Amino acid sequence: MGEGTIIVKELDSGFKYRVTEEPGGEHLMRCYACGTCTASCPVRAIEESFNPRKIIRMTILGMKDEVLNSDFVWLCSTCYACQERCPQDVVITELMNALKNIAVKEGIVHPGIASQAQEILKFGRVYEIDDFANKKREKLGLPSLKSDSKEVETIFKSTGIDKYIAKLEEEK
Amino acid sequence: MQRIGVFICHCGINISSTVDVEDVIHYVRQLPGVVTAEDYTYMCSDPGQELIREHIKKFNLNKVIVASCSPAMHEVTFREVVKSAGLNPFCFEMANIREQCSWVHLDKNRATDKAKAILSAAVSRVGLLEPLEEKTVSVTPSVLIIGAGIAGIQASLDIANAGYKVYLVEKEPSIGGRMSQLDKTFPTLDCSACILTPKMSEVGRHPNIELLTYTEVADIEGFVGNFKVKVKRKPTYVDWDKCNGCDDCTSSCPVDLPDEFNAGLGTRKAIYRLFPQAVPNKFLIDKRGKPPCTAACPAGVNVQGYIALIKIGKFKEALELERRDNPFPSVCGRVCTHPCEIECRRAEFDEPISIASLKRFIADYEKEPERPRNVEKRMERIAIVGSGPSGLSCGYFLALKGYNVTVFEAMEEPGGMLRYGIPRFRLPLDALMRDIKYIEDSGVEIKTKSPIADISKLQKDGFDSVYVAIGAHQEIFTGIEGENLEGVLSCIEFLRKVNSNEEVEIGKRVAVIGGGNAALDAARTSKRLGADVTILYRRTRYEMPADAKEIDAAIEEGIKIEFLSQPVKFNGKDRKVSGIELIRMKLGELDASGRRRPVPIPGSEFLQEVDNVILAIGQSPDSDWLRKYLNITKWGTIEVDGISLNTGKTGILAGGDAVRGPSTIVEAISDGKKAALAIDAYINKKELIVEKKAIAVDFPEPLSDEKKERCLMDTIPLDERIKSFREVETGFDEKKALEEAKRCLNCGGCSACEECMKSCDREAINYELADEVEELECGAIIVATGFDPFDARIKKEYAYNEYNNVITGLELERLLSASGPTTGEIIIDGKTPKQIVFIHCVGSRDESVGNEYCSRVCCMFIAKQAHLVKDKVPEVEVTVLYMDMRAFGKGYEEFYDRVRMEGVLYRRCNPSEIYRRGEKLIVKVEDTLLGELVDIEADVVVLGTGIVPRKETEEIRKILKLSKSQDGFLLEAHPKLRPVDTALDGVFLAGCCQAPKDIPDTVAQAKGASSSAMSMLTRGFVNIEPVVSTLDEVACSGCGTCEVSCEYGALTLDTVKKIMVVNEVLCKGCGACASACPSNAIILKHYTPKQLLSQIEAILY
Repeated sequence: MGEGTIIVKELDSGFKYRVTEEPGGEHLMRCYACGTCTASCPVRAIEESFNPRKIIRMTILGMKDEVLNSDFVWLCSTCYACQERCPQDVVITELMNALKNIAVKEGIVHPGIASQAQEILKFGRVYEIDDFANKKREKLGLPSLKSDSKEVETIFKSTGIDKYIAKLEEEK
Repeated sequence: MQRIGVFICHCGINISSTVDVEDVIHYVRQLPGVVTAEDYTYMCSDPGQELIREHIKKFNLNKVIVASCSPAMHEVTFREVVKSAGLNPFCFEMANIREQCSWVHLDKNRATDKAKAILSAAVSRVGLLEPLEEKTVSVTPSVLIIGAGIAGIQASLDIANAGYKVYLVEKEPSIGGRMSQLDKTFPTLDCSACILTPKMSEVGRHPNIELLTYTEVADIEGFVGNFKVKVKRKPTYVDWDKCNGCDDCTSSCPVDLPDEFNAGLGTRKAIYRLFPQAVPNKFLIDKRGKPPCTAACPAGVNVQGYIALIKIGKFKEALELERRDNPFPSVCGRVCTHPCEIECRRAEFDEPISIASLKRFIADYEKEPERPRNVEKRMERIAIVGSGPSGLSCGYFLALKGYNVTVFEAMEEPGGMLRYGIPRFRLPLDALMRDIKYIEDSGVEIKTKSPIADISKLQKDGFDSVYVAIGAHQEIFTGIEGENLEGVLSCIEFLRKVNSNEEVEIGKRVAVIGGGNAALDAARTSKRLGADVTILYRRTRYEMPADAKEIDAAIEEGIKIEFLSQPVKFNGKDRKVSGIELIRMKLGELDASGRRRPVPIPGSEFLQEVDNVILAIGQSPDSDWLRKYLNITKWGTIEVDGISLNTGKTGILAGGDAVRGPSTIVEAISDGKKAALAIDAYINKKELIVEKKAIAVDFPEPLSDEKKERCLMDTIPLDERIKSFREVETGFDEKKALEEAKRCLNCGGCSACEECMKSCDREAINYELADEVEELECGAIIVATGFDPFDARIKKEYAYNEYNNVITGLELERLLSASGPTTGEIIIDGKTPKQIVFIHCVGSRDESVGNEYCSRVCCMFIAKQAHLVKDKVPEVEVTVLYMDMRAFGKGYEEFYDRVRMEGVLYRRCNPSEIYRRGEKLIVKVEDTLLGELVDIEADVVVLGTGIVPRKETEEIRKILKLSKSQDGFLLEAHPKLRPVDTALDGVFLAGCCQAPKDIPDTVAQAKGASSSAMSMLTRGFVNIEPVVSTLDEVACSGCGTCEVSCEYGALTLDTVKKIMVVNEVLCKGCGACASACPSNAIILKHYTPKQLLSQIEAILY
């Protein structure tokens, strides 16, 4: 959110339609801004910049750059409290996912998420399986795991996520 | 020769913006038979109608097509136009190029093509249309109004004042509806009672209004102008012709139930009127059926009744009530197995009521036994063989009917097993004798030391009927080796000797074999005689048939129980038993009794040294001597019919243990009672009627959610217990009895204690009233069934169920009302709140509960309540949580202003949850205008609960086959132009059954509905659509397929001609029969196959 007056002609009035076309974003325009989501939100309780009601409002108003470029879309803990309580069935948690997906398509990814994706690409999971972990598994009678990412690579390639990651690498 | 005129409407730009009307006109003009085609902006308007009339005359048209909107909208309009120009109105066809074309398409070219196709179909069809004649039927000059809230009341008064008869049906016992529950009304703050009650009393007095309260509509048949209605009048159990509303009865009623009129705040009695201003001002009794305890009692004792009487200290009356169904209160209070307590519903909540202990209390409380009422003596003599509980009960119930009863007892003293089988420490002799004395006082003669050897001789001696209740006094032996050794005793024999004060010598080490109550009794008796006792049982405690209470008492007294052990052999020394060889068992598969079968573990044999063995594995009737008279089963029991207890020998009945084998006392009593009824029926040559009262299912809610443990009787000290035969349990004192009786939840509503009967001077109370069905005839029906408030329990995050100080709007309304439970003071949990929070839209505009709509009254009733609360408690801090404020009515916005000026704080938000922090409730919100989170403190939270369709409206809807809209409310014929009509002619809607609305709108709609109904009544006749089914009598085979397909009962079988008959008045012209008929014998006029096929063909080619 910028300072001062919002210049209406700088807003993207088509943004809301783009969001409603994205899976999870369909019910965006139902929101009547009651704030039940915000009052339910455990993230908002500790982080003022995360306010689901405001994010929805900004999305409807077309404040695309502010929404996609901010940290806050990525802060949702997906606890679903807002979604359960929303009287208008806005399916807010899914809506946050929709916004994240749009951001990624625009090439905007939170660095934390990006580095996680890189880990997955490297190890096939969010962290590397080391000897210690395998020994523990052995004790429990579980087969050992290899850090094999072949399948993940295929998935990343066919979905195009690899390109986003490569782009991020470049930017770094 | 067809002369067709086509008239195309632009519908403003609704049609013309998507359909090229000009192009369509050119196309239509060249279709066969079309002599003229014109278009106009609004064909339905006056100039449009005139255009059609002019062209009919100018071109001498014989068929007309209007291409415009849906026929549902204007078919009637244009038929009238055609008719006024001298044509038959059915020589007209409507082509829908709006709903079916312009509104659903975007591409103008394709929409235009479709319009052409629709018109070509219409032209093709219109040529085949035939003139039809409308019929008229007369109208019954009366109106049925369903629901007597403010809508029903207003409509009734309007119609009745116009001189027509009104039947006003209301399912509650009083008229008044929801409005009668309100305190003041917005925005004028008139007191609801002040403006409603005069109307209510006017309805009550009006000569043209027949008030049918506590009545439900069961069925409606017929058609507009001529409805036939069946109504079910629910039993009030008070004769309303006699009741004068004096209110003498309520103070005598011991049953407190939640007060529905006060939204569950406070209580009312089981005999009650809805509220003091009720119309009619009559009382009624809330009977919900047999409570679970009574249903579980084999003797059918009115348990809830005597407990209710104990609660109000009427101990004598309680005992009197008990004795109606059971002459053994003192005995059963001590040794009954009380199946009632197992079924007691309080157990779901905390613990069952101590029913048996309460029974013992009233029996013990009786100082001077009341002498039974004298009854008129009869001539007949009845003989009863056996003076156990079954025999004596039978005698008692017969004596109450005036029979001369003689009980023959073989033993020295009466009582059977009660006297000789149950030890004195469980059932003292005086406790037993009190009951027996009462039975004798009732007119039963007991002849002891009188064994009967010949049943038939009794009949020869002049007894009109005989009841055989000899019990089961024969020990069943094990057949184990060594059973005949000295020192191996029969349990029955042992107990009989001890109970008869005969000398019994037993050794130091006693083993009792068995797991029933008799085994426990023998073990505890032996203990008192100084022995070390072990009970040997072949299964585990879980399978033990003895009462848990008895098992616990035995263990307390130091008796060992060896589970999973079975004797194999009794060892002897000098012909006297000295030890038992036992084998360990384990539990295997289920057996026939549903218990797991004990299986011996090989090699697990062990030895137990004993001085005496008492065998207590079972008893059977001593019935060998009866074999020559009666059928005896292989178990030695007497065979009887399960209902009449008849043995097959005329006039001879049998029951109790003699029939059942060893069983419970209360079952023996139950048999005695059944036998008495059967004997009475036999002697009077009447059919035996077995009473079957419905069991309660609609239980009242507990009055308090406070958990409370059941009271238990005290026992005498343990060291005294094992030394003497003094009764172990000491019984309740008065205080305990009163306290325990209060725990009863009154599952059956009215407890049938009959106290109200005693208090009613006019003898108006009658428990035997039943449903009555009445039939009415009327010309029109107004449905005004109202609404239910939204069930706040559904919104779990508002914790309505958890906290007493989260209340609904209706509850606050009752608290504010002078006629409410606090006479208008705002007191919740004993305190006046300092901070109150109101929440808007609870259950409205809420997808999560499935209600998308706005309830339309909550914004304003909350504003009103906020004002009233401020008015009563000026220092109170009031916060209203809203999302959008809707103050749309006359004077509403001004009222909203006033409330804000009074200092009521409006915050724009919706709470995420409500929880308790210390003494306060916390309402968690985001103030959306600030963008800040706020925890709002409150002493009381009021939920602005919305309006939902009333549950019972659905039944009326199904009876009348009305439609409902997506929100669940009843559907009007047209949202703007026919808001009080329905799709069913002659049926109108008023009030909240159609949609949420406030009182002014409700009254306005009621006036609209009544005026619509009256215009029909005043005209005196109605037209019947000629679009009905006709039957080809030659093709019809009378198969009845059409009858099943017809929703309206318009088709019936002519049993003589064996063909179907169409009732043209009932037929709605839906065509279901025509498509169902397998031989195409039914044709729907105006929609004949030829007409429809030509239409389809025109579209296809």
